[in-house]
Amino acid sequence: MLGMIRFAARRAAICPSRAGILSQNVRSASSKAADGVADFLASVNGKPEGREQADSEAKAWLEAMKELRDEFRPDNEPYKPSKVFAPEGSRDYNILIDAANKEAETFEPTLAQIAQFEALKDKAIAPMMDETMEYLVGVITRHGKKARARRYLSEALYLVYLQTRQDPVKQLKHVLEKMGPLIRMKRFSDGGARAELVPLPLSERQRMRQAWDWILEASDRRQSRSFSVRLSEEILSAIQGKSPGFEKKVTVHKTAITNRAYISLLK
Amino acid sequence: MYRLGLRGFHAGSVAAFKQKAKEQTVKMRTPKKGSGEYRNFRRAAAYSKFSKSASEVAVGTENLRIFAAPDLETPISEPSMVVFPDAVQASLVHMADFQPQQNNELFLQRASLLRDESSQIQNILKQASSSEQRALLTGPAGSGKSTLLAQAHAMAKLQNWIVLHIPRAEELIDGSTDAVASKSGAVFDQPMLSRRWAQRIAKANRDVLTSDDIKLLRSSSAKEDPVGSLTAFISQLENGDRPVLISADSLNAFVKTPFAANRSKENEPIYHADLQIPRILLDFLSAKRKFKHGAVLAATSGRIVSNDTIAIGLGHGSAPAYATPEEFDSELAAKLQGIREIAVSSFSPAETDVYLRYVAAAGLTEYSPELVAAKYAVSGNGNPRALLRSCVSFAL
Repeated sequence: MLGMIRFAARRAAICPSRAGILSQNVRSASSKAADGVADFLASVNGKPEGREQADSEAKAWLEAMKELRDEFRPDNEPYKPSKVFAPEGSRDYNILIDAANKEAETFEPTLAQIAQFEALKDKAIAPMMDETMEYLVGVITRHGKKARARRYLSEALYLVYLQTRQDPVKQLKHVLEKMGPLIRMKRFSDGGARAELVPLPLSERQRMRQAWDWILEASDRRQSRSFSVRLSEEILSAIQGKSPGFEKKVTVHKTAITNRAYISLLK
Repeated sequence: MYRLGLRGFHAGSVAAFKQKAKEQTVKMRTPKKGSGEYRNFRRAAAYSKFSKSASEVAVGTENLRIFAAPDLETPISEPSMVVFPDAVQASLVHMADFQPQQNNELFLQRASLLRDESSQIQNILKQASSSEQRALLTGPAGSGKSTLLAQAHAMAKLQNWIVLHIPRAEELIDGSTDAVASKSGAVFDQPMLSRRWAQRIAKANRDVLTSDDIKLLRSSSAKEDPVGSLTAFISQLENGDRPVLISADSLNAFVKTPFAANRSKENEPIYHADLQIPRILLDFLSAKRKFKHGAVLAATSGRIVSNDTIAIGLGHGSAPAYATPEEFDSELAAKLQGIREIAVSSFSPAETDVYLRYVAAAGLTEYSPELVAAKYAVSGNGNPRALLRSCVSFAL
């Protein structure tokens, strides 16, 4: 068994494309345990063996492994390789909880620690990442000022939160999903004078982009000088289902239905 | 050449263009067409009454309690979230103690955390001469200096003190109000500011001032001679024995711009201490003048970037040679000597725990010991403002 796993790992290292199939084999073998091992050995080694012999061999292997594990867990704790083979003196701990509990002790930083603190003092903390929100920020960004765009969206969502008292990120994602059209209309011509509008399906990302564009467009008609305030108002009205984006989506869909016969042109 | 060109061939088209341009001129600073909020983000958030929709934290529980006059007798031993009685709270509003950047709109109640520094504030408000009870709150941005100032005001109000507070010292010197040379010529009077400050004092201290005081501050004669009536009021307090707390926020505005934006008749810039109201404040701060019973309290602002004048004045380091007034103001530093410094630090883990329990009770986050540890680390080891914003900074 151990040999098989090593073998699978080796194969994976040599030929990554086959790694998936092999590891699948290993997984299925271990789930069936000893009964299936013989078949598996036969399939891997290519040599047929006697079923009983293979079974006894596999059982012997499993028992040997169990013994080996028991040696490494003296207090009858569950077997954890990361703990058992850790260097002497190390232990499991939650760094945050330990830091909070340790506050009572007096702490004297060394000169090296002070120097490190001075070096890192002014470094900003890495922002949290949300893929959708990062995308929306990217769309807003102008002239490479991404931090400013991030602040605008953050402020807008803060205002939305103050008015709804619910998670604004969830609400915004829901609105974008609801507002995004399923298709767009593409102008198709075969080189002649006639041209037709043909409906084309949109990917999830394209749908979100279209909805976000409509929200930004509508927010531009708001009164405030702060972009974040204008944006928050538009997001809020979209949450309430009043944004013009929804009408635009219906219009696009209607046009697509009218022109559905032209889909065959693209084939 | 240019003129000839105008009169020559192109004259007609230029004239037409000019006319067109004139028609198309849009008047600056007119609101855009469209509906909705017209204010900027900070104002829209702070002044749209959003706190009304916040959930209430039950008073009298371990998360929040009322801090009343009897609580002043006992020293503050452990951190707790408190809310002040309504009458006191109203005075704090008049003194502009709740500021837009404090994110108060997130909560229904205006609670604050009593902590180590609060007990130092409590010690200052003892029955002693104001020359002995002078303190300056210093600390990084968002560490709670203005909140501690508000606590000082509340504690003073609970003991029936008169509170004279200047919420933004930068307004005294930014040239947004007038400065007129006085008859003696030594000081520049500030009539507009005197009037405004007198009204603020009268409103915030309605319960402790006598009718004569109110008359002095708010009558029609006070409107005609605001400088005289304010001066008379303060010298009355100086000679009487009523307890008075005089305080100012963002004192480092004087350090950043030692000379006010106002100018004298000779068009020379005016040094901040030559203006009437900064002079009153600095006289009490430097113990040149004093109240028999009282205290002087000031705070620096994290928003205003200033030089080392205040630190040197408080005894941290020595004055640099060859420095310009913009780099080091020796006069102001001399005035700060002998002042007690209250260095406001970030929350300790225990204080963070109490604060986050309150924030969780208000429905902004979910409390757990892991969250306390994580937020403590994320907020730069317990910076109160960063702590609150980390609980509500969405997505980013």
